[in-house]
Amino acid sequence: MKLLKHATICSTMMTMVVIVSLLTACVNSVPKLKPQKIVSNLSQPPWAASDESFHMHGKGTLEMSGSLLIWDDAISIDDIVQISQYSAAKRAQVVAFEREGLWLHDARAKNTEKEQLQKDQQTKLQELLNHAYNSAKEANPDAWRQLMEKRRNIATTLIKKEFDALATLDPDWDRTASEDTLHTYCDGKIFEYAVNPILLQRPYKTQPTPHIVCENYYRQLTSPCPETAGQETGSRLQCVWQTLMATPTFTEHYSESDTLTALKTFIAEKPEQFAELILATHQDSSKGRYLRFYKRFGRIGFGERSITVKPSKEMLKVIRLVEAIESKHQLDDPATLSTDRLLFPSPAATPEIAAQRKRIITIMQILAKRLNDTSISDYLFNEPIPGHAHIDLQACISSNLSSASKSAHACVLEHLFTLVDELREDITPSKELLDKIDSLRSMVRSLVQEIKEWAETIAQRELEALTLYSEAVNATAKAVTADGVAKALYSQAQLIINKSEKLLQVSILLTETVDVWYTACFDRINAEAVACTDLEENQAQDNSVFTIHYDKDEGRLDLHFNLANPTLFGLQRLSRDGLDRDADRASFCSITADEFRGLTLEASLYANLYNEALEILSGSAEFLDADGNKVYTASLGFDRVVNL
Amino acid sequence: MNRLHWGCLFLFAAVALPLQALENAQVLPKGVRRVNIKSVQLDLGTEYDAKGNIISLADPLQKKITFEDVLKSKEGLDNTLLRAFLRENNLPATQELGALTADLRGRVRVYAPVIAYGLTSRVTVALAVPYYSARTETQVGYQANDTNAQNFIDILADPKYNKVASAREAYENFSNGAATLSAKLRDNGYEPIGAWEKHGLGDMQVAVKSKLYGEDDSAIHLANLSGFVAPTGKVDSPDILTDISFGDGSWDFFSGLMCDQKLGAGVTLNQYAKFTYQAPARRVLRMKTADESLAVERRSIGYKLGNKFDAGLSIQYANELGIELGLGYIYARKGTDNYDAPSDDVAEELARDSDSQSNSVELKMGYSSIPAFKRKEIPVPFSVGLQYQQLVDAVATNRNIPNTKMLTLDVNLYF
Repeated sequence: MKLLKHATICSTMMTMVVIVSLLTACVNSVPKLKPQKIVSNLSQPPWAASDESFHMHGKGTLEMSGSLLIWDDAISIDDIVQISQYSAAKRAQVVAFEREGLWLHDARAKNTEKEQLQKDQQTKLQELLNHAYNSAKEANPDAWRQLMEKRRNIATTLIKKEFDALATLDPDWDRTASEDTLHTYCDGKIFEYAVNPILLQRPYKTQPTPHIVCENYYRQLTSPCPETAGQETGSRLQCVWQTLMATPTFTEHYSESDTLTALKTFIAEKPEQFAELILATHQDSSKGRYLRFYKRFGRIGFGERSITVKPSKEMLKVIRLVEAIESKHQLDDPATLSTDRLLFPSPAATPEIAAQRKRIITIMQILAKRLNDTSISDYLFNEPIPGHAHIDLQACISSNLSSASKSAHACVLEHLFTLVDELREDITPSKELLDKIDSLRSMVRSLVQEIKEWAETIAQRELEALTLYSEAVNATAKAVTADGVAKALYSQAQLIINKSEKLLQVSILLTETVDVWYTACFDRINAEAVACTDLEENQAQDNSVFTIHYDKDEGRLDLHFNLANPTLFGLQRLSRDGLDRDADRASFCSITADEFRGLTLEASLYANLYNEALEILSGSAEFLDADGNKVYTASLGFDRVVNL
Repeated sequence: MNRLHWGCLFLFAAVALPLQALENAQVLPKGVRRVNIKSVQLDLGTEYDAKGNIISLADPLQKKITFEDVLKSKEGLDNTLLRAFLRENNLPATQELGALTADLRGRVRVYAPVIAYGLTSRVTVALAVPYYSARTETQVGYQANDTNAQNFIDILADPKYNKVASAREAYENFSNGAATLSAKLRDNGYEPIGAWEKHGLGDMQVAVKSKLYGEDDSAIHLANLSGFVAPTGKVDSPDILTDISFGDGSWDFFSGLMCDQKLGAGVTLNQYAKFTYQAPARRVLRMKTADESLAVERRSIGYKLGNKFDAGLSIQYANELGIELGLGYIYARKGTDNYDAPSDDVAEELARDSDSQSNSVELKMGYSSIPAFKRKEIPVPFSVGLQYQQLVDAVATNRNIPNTKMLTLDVNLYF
């Protein structure tokens, strides 16, 4: 019985275990899940550089300018937003700037066409006037003399007005226009004329004079030049300088000087070279101004068309001229020259002479300021007519675009129009000839007006474009240079990419404080860094310092800088001094070279096309330590250099 | 992302001992042994949140992806730059870029043998060794917010910013947020979300039931039940989001009173109340915060789980044929946990919604051979019962507790 009981207990326990085990086995099945789906209709943006309109695959050279900005970790969100907005505005302005440049290019071309048409018509007008005046001079000498006398009277009136103007600046000026005063004035005028490229380049059939009222005075000083002296630039210049060197102002101070002897010899023996020297001096000066201007706005460039800058110290031309002469002949030490010493190398003998000198200097200074818009009397009564074959209209109009109306008023062209009236009143040619002349004058005047308006429009738009761009640049620079925004800013970074089918050559200059462009090359076919074979003088290559990698699918250009010697790239402390004065060229760095040393700069730049017009390369950059930890976060971006 | 809310599941270890409403104050006769096998099965799919709402267990995974989430992945200057980008383009940080969808189901079986012995005629000792088998399955989906996400991508790719690489990365992330989540989990050392299964011991319990009042023919019986729970069950892994813990990792000490009142005709009214003290312990946890729950470090920290209080009431019926029926109500409450975390943010987040409260009803039907055994009609005394327990929205609000329906097969053998 007891055995049966134990057997029953065991069988019951076994049954329980089996039941529970069966139930346990069911745990593997889990209630059915509700299916979950992945739903998305997003579209993936393509790599910008896959657009064939801008691809690094092309050939040629891409010059880009940009900036490296090392962020301050403590920068505020507001500052970042502001910088971003300003940067976008600046880039938009660059695009607008370039588009404006295209418009200006077309506009200038149109004006050039009009200028040519106007020039042709003007030549016809001049020929008719020449014919009329030549006929009158031969047919009626008395009328001709009366005409010259009339001109002299007008000139006298005009010069009195000039003297009145001078008197406002010089209380001691003699308003009575005494002979001495007139002679002083004429000395100044011949000096001015002798170095005026516009007047020098105008061809004349007969010898020109700086001013008709000075003609008798000049003839007292030296014998008149031959009639043909005006036809050749060199011979005309020779005459002008002979007159100049005969003036008391000149001879009083150069008579014993080797300079004068050398100058006379040089002018006598090589008049053509002397003329070239003067013109070259002006061209050099102009180029110098252009370069200075270009340097300031060098980031955007102006192509071949420089903005004409009104000379501020024309006297410097004279100095440079003599410097050039003396340099060629090694006559004197240029360093000892000055305006006063040039004109008056010896001390004044008496107070009267000193006062006279002061007047001359005043005259010279005033005349110099007005050189581009020099005396109306010069243009009107320089006696280029009859026989005046050509008037340089371009010199009249483009010499001073910013005040085109004033320039046009002072232009030689007005002289032609005045001559037509003079012709009608004093010479009375045939009606048929006069009608032709009137018709041509109307046509030329109309064309000149159109050209002038176009020139004004071009100048205005050019100025507006420059102003807008300058404002955008300054606003961005001001935002970036504010305290607490950036640890460093290199706003003058430049990148040149030379592309060929096989090779990509990249040269970079982070700051103009260094002279060497670091250059690296990438084999596009084998996708590997290679040595560059064609380096210019200011380029250096060192694969341990600077390497590149290019991903053609992504249009990504990777730049790798090893900063064992960070000063190679100008990465060193740069003062913030002067940022307020020159914000658009702002560069500063609060990080020392020692802090940069040993880091690497890794930048990945992506190619893109901004506003469908401007090629850009931009991306992030990181300064990493030896362990790959990020030390500084930076932004590096470049835009193609555009021209106006 | 919040951790799934099923830490309370280890409570089921408690079913290994007769602590629920349908138990009674009876003890085993001296020298009598009882082998009890409970098999508890429950399915998991929903839970009560802190406000008493029934939500999916996968709710913490069903998350809207906003710019805030993107910002969380950026630190320092990168974060500032992104915030500036959003502000410049009038993109609110709360703007939705997509939404994760998810479903999570689980099934748990607890196989709990309990061995009890009548030490004296008034004292019974018992040992319970629960064994867990658990499995969960999770599936994550994603619905991109095409308008907002595409706008963000397009702005990034615009030449104004020229962040085409970032735009393409954003496209990858926002086209399939589920993959992004998986990558983030992988990057931070988590197991992939999917199927999970585990078997193992739960927390073992030792209990002593002492009859304090009442004889066989008494109308009222009063007993004390005291004991402890040893942390032998595995705790949830800090690297698995969808696992189930088989224990709470701490020593628990409990004590309670239960009272039977015989109402005649085989009907008994049972009441009980129990308090459990959970001792301080230490374990490895993720140091999550309210802002970030995934990309956080693991750390071994001390903690003290909230103490528990349970009370119940039941009506039970048993007749001479051995038929047993019962209907009961259980109230359970647990206090807030306390974590010795490295920062207040972490401690606060770990303790968030760790308190719980539940009410449930139980139904029981079964057969006991004891009356027949006493009549010597059957050689072995045993009983078989089937219990069903379900949370109810009554009396008190259920919160922070899995919404389960539990079926228990209870087999007892006396010898």
